[in-house]
Amino acid sequence: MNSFRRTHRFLLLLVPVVLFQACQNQCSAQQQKQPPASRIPRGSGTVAAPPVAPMPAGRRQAVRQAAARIDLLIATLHRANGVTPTEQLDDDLFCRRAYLQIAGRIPRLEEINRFMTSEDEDRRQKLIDRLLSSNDYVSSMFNFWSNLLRLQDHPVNNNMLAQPFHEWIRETLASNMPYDQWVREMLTAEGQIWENPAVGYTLRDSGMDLDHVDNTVQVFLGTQIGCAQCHDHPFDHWTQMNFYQMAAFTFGTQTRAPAGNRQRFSNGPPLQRLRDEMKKQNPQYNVNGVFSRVINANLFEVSDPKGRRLTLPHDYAYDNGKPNQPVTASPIFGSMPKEQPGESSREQMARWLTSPDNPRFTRNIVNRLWKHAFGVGLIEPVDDLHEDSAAVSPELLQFLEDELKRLNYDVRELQRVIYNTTAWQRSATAEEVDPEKPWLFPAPLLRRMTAEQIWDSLLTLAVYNVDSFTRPSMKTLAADIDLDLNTARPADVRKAAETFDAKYSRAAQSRITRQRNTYKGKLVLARASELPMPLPPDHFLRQFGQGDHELIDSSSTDGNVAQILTMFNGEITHMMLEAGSVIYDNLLKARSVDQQIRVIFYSILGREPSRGDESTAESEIRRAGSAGYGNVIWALINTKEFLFIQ
Amino acid sequence: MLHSFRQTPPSTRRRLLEDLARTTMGVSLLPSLSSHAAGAAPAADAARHVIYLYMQGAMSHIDTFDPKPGRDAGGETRAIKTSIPGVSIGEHLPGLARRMQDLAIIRSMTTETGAHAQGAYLMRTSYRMLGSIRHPFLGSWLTHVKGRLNYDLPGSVVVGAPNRHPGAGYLEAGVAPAPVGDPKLGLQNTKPPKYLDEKNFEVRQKLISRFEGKFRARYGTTEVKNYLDYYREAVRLLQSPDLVAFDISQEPEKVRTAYGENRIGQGCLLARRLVEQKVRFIEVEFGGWDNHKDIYSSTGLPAKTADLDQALSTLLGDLQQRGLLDRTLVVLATEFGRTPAINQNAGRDHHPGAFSCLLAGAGIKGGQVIGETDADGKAVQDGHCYPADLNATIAAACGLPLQEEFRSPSGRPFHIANEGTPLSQVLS
Repeated sequence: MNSFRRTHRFLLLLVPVVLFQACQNQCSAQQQKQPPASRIPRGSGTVAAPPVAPMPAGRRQAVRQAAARIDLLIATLHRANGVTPTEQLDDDLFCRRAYLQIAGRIPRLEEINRFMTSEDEDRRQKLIDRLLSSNDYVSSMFNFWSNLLRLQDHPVNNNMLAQPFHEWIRETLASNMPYDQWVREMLTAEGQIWENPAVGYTLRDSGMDLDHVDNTVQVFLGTQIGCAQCHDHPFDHWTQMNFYQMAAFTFGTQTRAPAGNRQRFSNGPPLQRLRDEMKKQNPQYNVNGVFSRVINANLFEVSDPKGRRLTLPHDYAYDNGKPNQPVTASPIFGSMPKEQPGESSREQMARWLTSPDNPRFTRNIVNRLWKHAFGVGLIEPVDDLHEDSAAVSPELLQFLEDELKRLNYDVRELQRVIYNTTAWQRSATAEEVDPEKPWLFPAPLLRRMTAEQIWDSLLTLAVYNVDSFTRPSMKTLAADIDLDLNTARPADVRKAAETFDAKYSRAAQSRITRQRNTYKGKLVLARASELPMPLPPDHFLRQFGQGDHELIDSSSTDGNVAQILTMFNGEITHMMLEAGSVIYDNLLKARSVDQQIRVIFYSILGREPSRGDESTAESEIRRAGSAGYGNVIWALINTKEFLFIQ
Repeated sequence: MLHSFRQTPPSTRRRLLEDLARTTMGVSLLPSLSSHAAGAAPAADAARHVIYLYMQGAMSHIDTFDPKPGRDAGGETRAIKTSIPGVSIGEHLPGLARRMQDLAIIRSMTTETGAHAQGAYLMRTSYRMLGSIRHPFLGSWLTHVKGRLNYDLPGSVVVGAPNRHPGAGYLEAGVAPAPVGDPKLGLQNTKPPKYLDEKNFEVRQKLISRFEGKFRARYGTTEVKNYLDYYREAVRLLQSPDLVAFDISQEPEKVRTAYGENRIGQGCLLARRLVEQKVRFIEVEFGGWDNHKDIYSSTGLPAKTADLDQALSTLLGDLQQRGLLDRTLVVLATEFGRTPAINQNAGRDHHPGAFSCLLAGAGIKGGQVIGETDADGKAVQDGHCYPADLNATIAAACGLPLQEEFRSPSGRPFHIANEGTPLSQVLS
């Protein structure tokens, strides 16, 4: 009823915009001669990103059926507990929620327009499909995983280069690799990072053999065994022996080539040899910097040599073992997978961990995806599953697990089902989670946007084609710096070092971005997923709670005073009010004050202004003239409504 | 509204804040404000401010405050004499060795977990990290119970802290710490653009509250209300002349160099400026102590310890000279210690069994070492001091009521330092 009025009026507004854009395209040749009037860089429009696998359109009916099943289970839960769910979201707020959840940003004005003017009955389902097969989805899921996998550009030390691994994550998200295969590849990858980027997973914890198993179990099985590293787990049944037996699977894995091994390096340890030879040739040459770095980078490789065995700690205090006794690998629960010929113990562990018969492997990811959608897991906390942890609706959890197995671990397809439920399309509840009581999912939780959602949304309002600002590619890394360390001569290393300096180093990367996508020479404008990791603590993203990726899920959505100061006075807020920002341009295209106010409200809040909003905005604009527009935009960006997802 | 709020006299403002806290959080400020008697008898000259230095990553006790010369466990760190006969500390702490008369070193620290996140949480809050609740850190307790001494500035500030800092926990947002990322940069974005005068700023504030009125009416959640508090706080801060306390570039270069041109040095200097402006509690984070590998490399522990030594000894001297040390408690804490055995990567691993912390300044009897570890620094000999005991000692030095029961919004009872008991021999 009232949505018709809304759609209708909104349509009227957008007509002149479209006309204006058409004109602009015709006049573009003329425009190119003029120097750019704006300080805000514009993306070229081409995106150097892997193609995203299309959504199988033939499955729409099946998706609807699975979604209906979930809704039925939720309705049963509500009936049994006397819960009244919230109402369905109107189209405008649905559109905002879908973009933020799936694409990780608010919709652009023309995207809202396209959705709101669609008369297709399946427009919601089609929007979900379109977003799930977009670069935006890859970017947003990359943020999700980088927070759990603690991605850092240089984990452990400066010599280790992890960006090829990060590219691999983007690519596999884009190609929609089945989740079980994805985890298996990370857990079992061998070699150097530029030949097999999935080794980045093991390299992340290089030198932290025991923490590594703890992290793996927490991320992929939702289980905490860390306490048992030093003593029997106080609140769970894990023993220190369990921990060591589990750790024994990966303990033999090496992350560095054996520099002292004469068979491998018959000419001697490469770092020392090459440095000595270089100094002999040129005593003035600095062998400490990038020269050593490329040698060290070449030494990072993941392999499973035989012979390194884990032993119990020297102060082992329990009766079931002796100090320093060697440990035989055994999984923390379930049965030992049969050893297959030629298989490393790491591969054996990966087979056990990612098996559909491992109950926690599927439960963990399903529970995490549910939390990602609704704000609360079916079991909480999501990373501390116990044998007796009960979901509020065991039937629902079971259904989701079965569904994911049936879909052969196509995570994106399961998300597609979840987002098509009536349950997820309800307006956020004002109810708060009481950790002492079961949460009955009356609706998705009202959530503050993540740091990445806020940043990407502000860029959406300000920057054209921001997706063009991708990080410099690492695809040519192998060709440029891969060395045969046993036969390499100092000149080879020098050449590799110079190329590294020019193309891949931090300085090189920041040179490239400075030329291409910075505002006032400082603020790098690129989506959160295309920025260095971790960012310095003062960066906008860190202020709003992006993690430092030291610990699993180090992100936060808490507020603080510094955030408010940034929103009041920070550069990104002011960039918005400058000529050449997207919202500024859209404002210029609107023909009347009435329409301009609509442009501002739809752009920022994704909704129509109420009559009260209209009169407040209008009187401000009449009072203050052009500064009034700035005041209205600034104020809307600073509302709580902008920061939260309804 | 904003304007009139600013004109309200301080006493009324305090009451307004209390009303707000009561109505929004179900936590009362008033009883605790007037009932210090309930706790351990507070020292006569209780600490009014706390500077809390947190060594993130678990600082090796053996290489700092509990050296083991002549033992394999001692590693490469030699011991040096201090100004107190019979007390030696690690060789990388010469400045603090000269100030030993001001320091109380606790060598009997012990904790229950060797995991960083859990250990740090326990150290800051006295409680175990749980999924169902978040506990306040001491800075928020101090502000909550004792109120602010400078109403315009935040009650507590954390410099360089991680996201997962417990902050105000279940207490009201008004006592949450303000975060500063880099001490050199201070609090950023405090200067509005030139065109934005005060009047215009107020217009914008009014617009915000008009536009979000409907949203706020529907979503009165704690999270949304907390954001309202942060907005008020930010506005107040921007209008305060004391804001300049956050800017360490105001200090003469000589002073900045004396503290050390690094995170801990500049962090300590910022802390001193904030104490001068009566901020209650300043936490300064110094990371990089997780020395699993190459602990004695040139960029490893020795360099880090030297930075700490310079910063902390300069801070103590500076506070003393300005007459601030007798009302400021200085704490050095970390989540756990590191193993006596040096591992195959030439580093030390996690060791929750024994570690060291340090107290100095207001309310503290200096020149003493509390507790001891065995010959290798592996186990505490007697009188274990748990994180809650350390926090109880800090709280007692500040005159906080340890026995008083506080309730979280969900009605669960808590104490400021859990079940911790103050180390009475440390308190002056």
